Amino acid sequence: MSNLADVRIKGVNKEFHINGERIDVLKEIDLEVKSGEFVCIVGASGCGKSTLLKMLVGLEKPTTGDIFIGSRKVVNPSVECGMVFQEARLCPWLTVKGNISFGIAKRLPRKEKAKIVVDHIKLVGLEGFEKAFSGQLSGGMQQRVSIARALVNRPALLLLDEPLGALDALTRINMQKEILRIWEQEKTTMILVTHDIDEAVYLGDRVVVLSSRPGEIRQDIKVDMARPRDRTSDDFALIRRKVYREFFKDSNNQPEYFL
Amino acid sequence: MKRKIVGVLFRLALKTAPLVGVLLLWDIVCRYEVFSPAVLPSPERTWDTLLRLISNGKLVSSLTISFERVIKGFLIGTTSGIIVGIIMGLSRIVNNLLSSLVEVLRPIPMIAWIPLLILWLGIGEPSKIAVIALGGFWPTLLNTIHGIRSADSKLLEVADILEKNSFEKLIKVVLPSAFPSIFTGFRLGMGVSWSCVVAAEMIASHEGIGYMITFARELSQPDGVMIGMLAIGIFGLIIDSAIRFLQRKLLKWY
Ligand SMILES: Nc1ncnc2c1ncn2[C@@H]1O[C@H](COP(=O)(O)OP(=O)(O)OP(=O)(O)O)[C@@H](O)[C@H]1O
Ligand SMILES: [Mg+2]
Repeated sequence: MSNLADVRIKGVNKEFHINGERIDVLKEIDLEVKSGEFVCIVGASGCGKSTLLKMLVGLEKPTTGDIFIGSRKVVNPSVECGMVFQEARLCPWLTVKGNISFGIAKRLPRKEKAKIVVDHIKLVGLEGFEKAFSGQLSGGMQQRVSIARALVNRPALLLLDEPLGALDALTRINMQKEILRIWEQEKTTMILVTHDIDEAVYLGDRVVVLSSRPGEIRQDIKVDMARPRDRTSDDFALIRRKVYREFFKDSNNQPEYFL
Repeated sequence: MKRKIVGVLFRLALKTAPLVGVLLLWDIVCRYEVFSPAVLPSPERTWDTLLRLISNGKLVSSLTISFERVIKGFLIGTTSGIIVGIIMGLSRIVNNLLSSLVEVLRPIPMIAWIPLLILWLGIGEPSKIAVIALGGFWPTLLNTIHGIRSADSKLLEVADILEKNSFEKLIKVVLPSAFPSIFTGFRLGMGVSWSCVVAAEMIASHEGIGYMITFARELSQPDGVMIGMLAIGIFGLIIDSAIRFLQRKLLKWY
């Protein structure tokens, strides 16, 4: 299954029309992600990050250009590519168990389904909350359910669109560790969008910096650091500074402070 | 613990105070014969009449008959309301086809349907069931349409990503989202159905709670009329509480 997950984005442009007016959102995006890689995308608000992920998962179509996952050209959503949104997007009428089980796309015997659900509850550390409704969970727990739901089909590629954006700083750092653990355990290719540069440097094998709208790839920065990474180390600071510099080259993105 | 009991007692007192007040006022007004007893019978006489109506079984049998009619009509009305509502909520074309019809017919008061339904279906049970069904139909229809439409597009995106087909999306996302709204339709529809049965029975019937009221009026017995009215109110409250109880049980997450 592994090399099926090479992602190739080739010359993708995307424009929207609002009230007859054309807006260029993404411009000439060329990006390759190797199977098993963890790539973080950072960029200013509105530069088209979510749009890029939606095109990868097949919810939106590029205006021009093509996207391939393995040898498959993306035209429709497919369970081989999972997605986690900023909001957990759980069904409020389902329990943790029900929501995760809702993720299973294949027709499977009840027993097998139940086992998959139990395994994934364990994977995201929600034992004991099987019967809780999503309204009874904290934001971080809801996002864990959402991640588990996206993983039950063992997607070759997992897209995460600011999955931790709504969480407080402490929960966020814990969840970053969780995501890394899951990535190491499942060996899923991951593409994570964030506007938190620390998060990107902490998680990614590469950090891709987009310019503000229309989004273009401005830099593709390799993070050559062993995990677990120490956020206070000099290496970390060096790479973070590199990303910051790229990020704020744009005249529109004035930094509020420099490191 | 003690404080809790005091609190409960206090709330109970607050709730019953107005009722006791009205009873007292009623009693005083009757003692000083502000109105003639033929217009406003005394609380004691009304109480005696109530006991008589209970012991001779009239009250219970009238309520049972009316309730049976409501259940039949309500089931027909809400079932068709849900079905038509789902179709109208899902299909723009069907919605456009039917919406003008709905807009013209819906504001017609249920009572205004009764003469036509009697002419079409006769004076017997079918016309009564029909008006009750109609009463339950409109609220269920409108709330179902609203519920179906308000299904979260973000959840539907998730369903698309998970390769759910249209049927699965309907069963697993759209209908559950519409459930609270459909239940609201039930509650409103039950209220309307319940008032429809009374209206229908007052116009053309020889049994049921509506008939009991008309009959008492014909005998110039305001106490009988008042007991009938109160019974309708209390029974309606019981039904509504039952539906709300069901709602809490079924829609735990809501
Ligand atoms: N369905 C749509 N129709 C029209 N315009 C859209 C649509 N979706 C997105 N856009 C536009 O595309 C641009 C990029 O949106 P997108 O959601 O991809 O930004 P983003 O980079 O994810 O921003 P943020 O960090 O705030 O989430 C925005 O200007 C938005 O107005
Ligand atoms: Mg976004």
